[in-house]
Amino acid sequence: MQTNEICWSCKGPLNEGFFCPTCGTLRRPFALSPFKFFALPFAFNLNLNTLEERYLDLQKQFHPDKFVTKTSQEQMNALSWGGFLNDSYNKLKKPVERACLLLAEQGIHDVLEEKPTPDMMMKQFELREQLEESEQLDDLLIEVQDDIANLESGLVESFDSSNFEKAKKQTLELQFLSKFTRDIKRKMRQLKTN
Amino acid sequence: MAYSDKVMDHYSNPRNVGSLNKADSHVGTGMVGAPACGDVMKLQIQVSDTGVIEDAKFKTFGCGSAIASSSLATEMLKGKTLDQATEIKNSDIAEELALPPVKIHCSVLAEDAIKAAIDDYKSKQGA
Repeated sequence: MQTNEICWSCKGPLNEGFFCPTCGTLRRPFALSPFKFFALPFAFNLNLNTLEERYLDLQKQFHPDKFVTKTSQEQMNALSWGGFLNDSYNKLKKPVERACLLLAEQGIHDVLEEKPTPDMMMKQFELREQLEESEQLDDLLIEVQDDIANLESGLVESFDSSNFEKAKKQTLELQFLSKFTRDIKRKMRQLKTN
Repeated sequence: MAYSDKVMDHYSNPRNVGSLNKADSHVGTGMVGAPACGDVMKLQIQVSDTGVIEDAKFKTFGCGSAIASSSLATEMLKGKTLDQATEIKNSDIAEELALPPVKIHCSVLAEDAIKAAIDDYKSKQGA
């Protein structure tokens, strides 16, 4: 976090806060990890209630209504922070994106562009065939949801033990299974309406 | 997004859908996927003793462009030698199907599948 910068309004020194400690104006957005933004530890395990609470709290701080009497620069800053807030919240909430953020913190980018291993491909192909051929999808859905739960607890472990290679693989698998779950549910709806 | 006529043709009337015997030493299997969109593509070739691709089959779970790309790939492969098949580039497929830029990755997937199938066949022969 940049602490050696000066306030755009009063030119006073800045600390780690969003507001200038001297004149109290809202700072311009600066590069910030969503985890730090939400004052969360760099871990995959996340208490959704805490996330929700912090989201509402931050939303209040940057709410446009609080800046109606302020300069247009400060109003713009509030809008930018609000955008960054929503974006960060949506990413942290979703397990796959949360994992990608944590990997990016380690300098591992574009995880979802990686090629799956042959074993993963084989399993994905078999799952796709099952979905295509079967009309009784309840069991398949339960199986996939179990796999997702296992992957998520596996990710907690991998990140806690700094095993980022394993976390990468698990993230890829989770990405596939999340999409696959939507496809199962779509077919279930179609079967119901026919 | 509107698909080109050629994509629609291959999508609604795909060529060479199916499976070859994976355990056959004359058969090479390529399995590739794109995690971001969840597409999975299986492409198989059957190679004669003289190194000519006699048959090719595919099965693809994915969008219209991915299905069309793999369908066209199997058509292009039939009758080619392995060396000629290695020369097939994703741009050949993308051009033939007039794929829009956002769908180029489908043709890349098909090229990867061809290469994976050839590699699998070669490793079986070498083993």
